[in-house]
Amino acid sequence: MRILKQRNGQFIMIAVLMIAIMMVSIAAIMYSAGTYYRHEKWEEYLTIVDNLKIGSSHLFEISLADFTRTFDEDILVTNLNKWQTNLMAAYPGLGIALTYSNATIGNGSRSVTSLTSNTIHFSDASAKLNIDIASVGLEGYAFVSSAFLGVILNATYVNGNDLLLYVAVEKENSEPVTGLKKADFFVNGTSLPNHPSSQLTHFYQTEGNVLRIIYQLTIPDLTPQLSSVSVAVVDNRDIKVTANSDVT
Amino acid sequence: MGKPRNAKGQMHVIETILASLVIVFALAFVNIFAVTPYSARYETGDLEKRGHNILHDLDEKRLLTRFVYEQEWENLTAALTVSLPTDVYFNLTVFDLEGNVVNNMEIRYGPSEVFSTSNMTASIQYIVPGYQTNFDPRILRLELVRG
Repeated sequence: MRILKQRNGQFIMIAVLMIAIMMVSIAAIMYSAGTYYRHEKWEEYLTIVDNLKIGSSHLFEISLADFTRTFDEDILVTNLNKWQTNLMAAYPGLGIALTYSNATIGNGSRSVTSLTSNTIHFSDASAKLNIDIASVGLEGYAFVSSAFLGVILNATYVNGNDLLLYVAVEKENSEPVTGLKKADFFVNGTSLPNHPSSQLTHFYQTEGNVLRIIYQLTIPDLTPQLSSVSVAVVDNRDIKVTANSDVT
Repeated sequence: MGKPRNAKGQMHVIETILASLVIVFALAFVNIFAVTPYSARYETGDLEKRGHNILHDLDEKRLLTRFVYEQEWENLTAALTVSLPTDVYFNLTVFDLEGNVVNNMEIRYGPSEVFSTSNMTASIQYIVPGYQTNFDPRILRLELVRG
């Protein structure tokens, strides 16, 4: 009798253990599968949001580039309204809704904090955007999108009649603009290559935490001497900004 | 004394066989629910992520809009070819907002029939708003298939 009792006990123990292991295994697999698919869903709309963010950023650059040529102040709002419709065509069935507020576009100037005696002249466009994607339950994803191009200008005469221009160019987040060529600069409305014997070099300057690339434009023997000068810069996005300065 | 020992030994053998069967059954049962990372169900998701990341990277570097609006289709094909693994075939089509195909040459790597025959084609839709001063959106559809 004792032996029989032990046999039954062992078998039941093994069976119970097996069932327990099976239940735990199934639970673990179901959990990981569920987690994976939740993760996938998140990633799916993250990629769409990424596309919308970078696309919107390009839209601001395009609008600002257009504005700096046509001075059409409605261009940003017009393009944003079209973009809202275009997104629905690009992602049908997702229920994408893009809304915007505080849309501004224009030119301006302000003093530079790191270089207190200087003024930065800028062209900029910005707005607060909000994305809803109904199909994945995303509501109120808000971000600020903007485009900016600024110029700090210093002008002086050296060696008699040689006009020397120091031009610092920066874009969004005070990031210096690199790779500008002579054809990207216009002095008093004339392209720099059209000024005889003009030269373009550059050097780096650090002001606190801010690194600037200073473009040095030289126009030799410019007579009669100017009391003020205007320099326009066009970057690789076709955004134009114009700075004015007295010549010292 | 000999018989009870034999009976005990036989019982252990039976128990072991039964326990093995239970384990095999449990493993087989659990395997029905298992979805491995190499299964077809994951495959298109992985390709979609990869495809989107490549388009996003090209767009961030301002290359995608240049290729599309300057119609540099060979450069776009080359950029996608070097960005994707060699065993991944792609087919990119550029549409305007009316749904007309804009690319006048194929932007493709791999045999054309693979995209119509494969049942695991990943498809990515991507929109670009315009280029330089021109707001004129284009919709890109990138299809990816493992070779």
